Amino acid sequence: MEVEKDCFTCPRQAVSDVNGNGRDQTVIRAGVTVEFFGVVRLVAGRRRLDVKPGSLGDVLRQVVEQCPTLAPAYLTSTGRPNQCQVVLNGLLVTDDLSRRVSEGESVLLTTLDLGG
Amino acid sequence: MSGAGEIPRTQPNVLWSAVPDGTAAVQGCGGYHGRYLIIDLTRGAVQVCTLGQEELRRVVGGAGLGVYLLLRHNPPDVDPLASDSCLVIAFSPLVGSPFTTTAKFAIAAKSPLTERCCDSLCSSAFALAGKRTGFDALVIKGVADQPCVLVVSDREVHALAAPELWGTTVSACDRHLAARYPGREWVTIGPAGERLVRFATIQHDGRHAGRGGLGAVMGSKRLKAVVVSGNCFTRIAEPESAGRLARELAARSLGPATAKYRLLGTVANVAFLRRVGALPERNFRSAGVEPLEHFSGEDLLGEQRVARKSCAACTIGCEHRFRTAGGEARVEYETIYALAAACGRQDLDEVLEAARLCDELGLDTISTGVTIGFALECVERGWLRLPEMAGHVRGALPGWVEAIGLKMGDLGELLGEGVRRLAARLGPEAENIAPHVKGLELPGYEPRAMPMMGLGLAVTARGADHNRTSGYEVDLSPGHDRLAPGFEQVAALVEQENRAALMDSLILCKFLRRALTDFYADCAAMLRTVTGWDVTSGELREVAERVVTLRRLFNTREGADCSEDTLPDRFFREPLSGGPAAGAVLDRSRFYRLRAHYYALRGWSPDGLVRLDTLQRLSLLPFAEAVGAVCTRAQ
Repeated sequence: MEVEKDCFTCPRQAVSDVNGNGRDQTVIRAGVTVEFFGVVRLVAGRRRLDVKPGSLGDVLRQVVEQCPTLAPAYLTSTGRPNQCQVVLNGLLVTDDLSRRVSEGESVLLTTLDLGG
Repeated sequence: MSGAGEIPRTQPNVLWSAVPDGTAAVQGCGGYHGRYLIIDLTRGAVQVCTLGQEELRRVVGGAGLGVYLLLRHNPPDVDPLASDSCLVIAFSPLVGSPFTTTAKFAIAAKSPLTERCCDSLCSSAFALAGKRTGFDALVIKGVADQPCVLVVSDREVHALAAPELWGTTVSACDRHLAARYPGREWVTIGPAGERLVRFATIQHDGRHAGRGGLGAVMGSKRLKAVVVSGNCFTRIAEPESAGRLARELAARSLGPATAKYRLLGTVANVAFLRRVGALPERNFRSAGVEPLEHFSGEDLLGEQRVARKSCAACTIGCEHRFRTAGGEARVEYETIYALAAACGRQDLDEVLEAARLCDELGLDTISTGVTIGFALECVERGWLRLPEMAGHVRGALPGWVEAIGLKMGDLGELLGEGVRRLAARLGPEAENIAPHVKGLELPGYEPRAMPMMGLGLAVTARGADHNRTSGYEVDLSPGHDRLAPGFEQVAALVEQENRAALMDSLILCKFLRRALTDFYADCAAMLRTVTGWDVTSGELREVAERVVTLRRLFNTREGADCSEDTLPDRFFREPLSGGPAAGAVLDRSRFYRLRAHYYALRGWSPDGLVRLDTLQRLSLLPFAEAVGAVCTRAQ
């Protein structure tokens, strides 16, 4: 099922995709969407990844399995964040790997060096 | 002022020349000359003043030393653009040491934009050459009788008439000075500084001491450039230890802790901060709504980037330059925030060209863009009549920037005064949505989505200042509700502000901060090996607090009170539109409770005045009394 909508009006259900112009389009997908930003995006080599729901630890383990270049600098081989910021649904900054991440939710990953 | 050693004019364009007397430099420690130079442009005279080890150790250098000297030499209540107003250029003990990112200098003055304390940092070879003049700081006062260039070396100071440079852009002036002064370094202002635009910058090698309008202070003195050179080197007390530490730090500076700056630059923030609802849009009317992904560092990397540059003595290399219609431009996150998001502009070429023009004219990109964004909303609401800004005029942004930088027409005259003064002309409704604190335009962090950043912007001495507070680090830390912070987050904010004050005084680039494994211990080790002092982490924590307090004392002396430590009314009344924090609005009572806690942690009274016991604890009481900065109401 793919439905265009503003990803920010429905952040817990929607995830964004990017067309060739770099403009956000939105599609609803099954599972959890992991969005990569900054250097983490460069190292992962992708903007986003769909994974299965589970604990945050489970989600990050799937990320490092599918993007092994993120280890060890940004995630450990078991998926523990290292020099990496984790934000759920654009709002909740967390390091609680036991937290449940449900279908339709998003996990943002970027580096810790914020600001400018 | 002694005017020691004044000599007659020997060249037609020499306005005056003076030889600083031979006051002995500080003995017994490395890193410092132990003296500073006062230069009076009106009288054409110089005076050498000593700096004792004890006072240097209390403020270290850079921003700390700059504010300390500003309190000492700037007359209370002086008009920032008047002759008596001082411009302080301060170096630091780590300048010229082997430590990475230390080729930096601070410039301090009373801001013509805020009329409060302003210290601004700039980077690169000017710091190295300036310190080799044999002075830890230059204090420039007075007004030259015609546009001039001030030349400071380790042997002589002179002012040269420079009418041919007045009116030149920054790059044209650079080319002229490069031909005239090979092997020397300089800072310059652009046309905006000459025309006293209140957010004009001071530039060196493409980098700008950007915030607060210090370029206008320089322009008010008819000073186009300061050229420095010399061969006075300071000693490093423990060269072997310093070298070893420097190599370790340089290695860490090349790791993942600084990868963002090396690979993408600060424009890497655009996509992420937009996604977490923290990138303000259209004069803070929304966040995360405008299509701005194409401004992100990740997207710009492949298409527009033409070069990456480093400051002198830096292993990070954060400066990323991008192709524009008129050449190339240095672009930072704040550039994109201010000139694109805040103004609701989406045309990449237009924004990059506007950024280039800001640098050429010597304009602070944040204040320029935010003032334009504010004016656009005022025009839209019918509060401001500027026909050239009505409607969405494609490609108009560079023209507006040029008008501001050259103070052309009503647009240039009105917007060149900054948001606060423009709002005051338009009335209370405009003032409620005017995005500034203490007159300094807000940087690119939406306070409703980042409340601790908002508090930090409200309380810092320079005004809405992201470089002195780093509250975003607190907002984006795990373990708390980002939209409803508590006292624990205030303590973290104080710590962030203290660390920034110390880095700005040592001076170390803040982009290095995550490469430091034990912040205060690492800083103490660096300072110890350069100076030979037995400095400890605890001592540096106190230095940091002292620097923050000195800035507060300056503001209090200028008449500031706690009513200035707040945010625009809009953030307390209008729910945020768009983004994951949609609907968020700042709770006024919570904000003031947190602010009161901030004051308490700082040792300030409930109305934000520095208490006497705090001055005593920080060994500042005699100095504060001497410069008239003690407020008895603080008790």
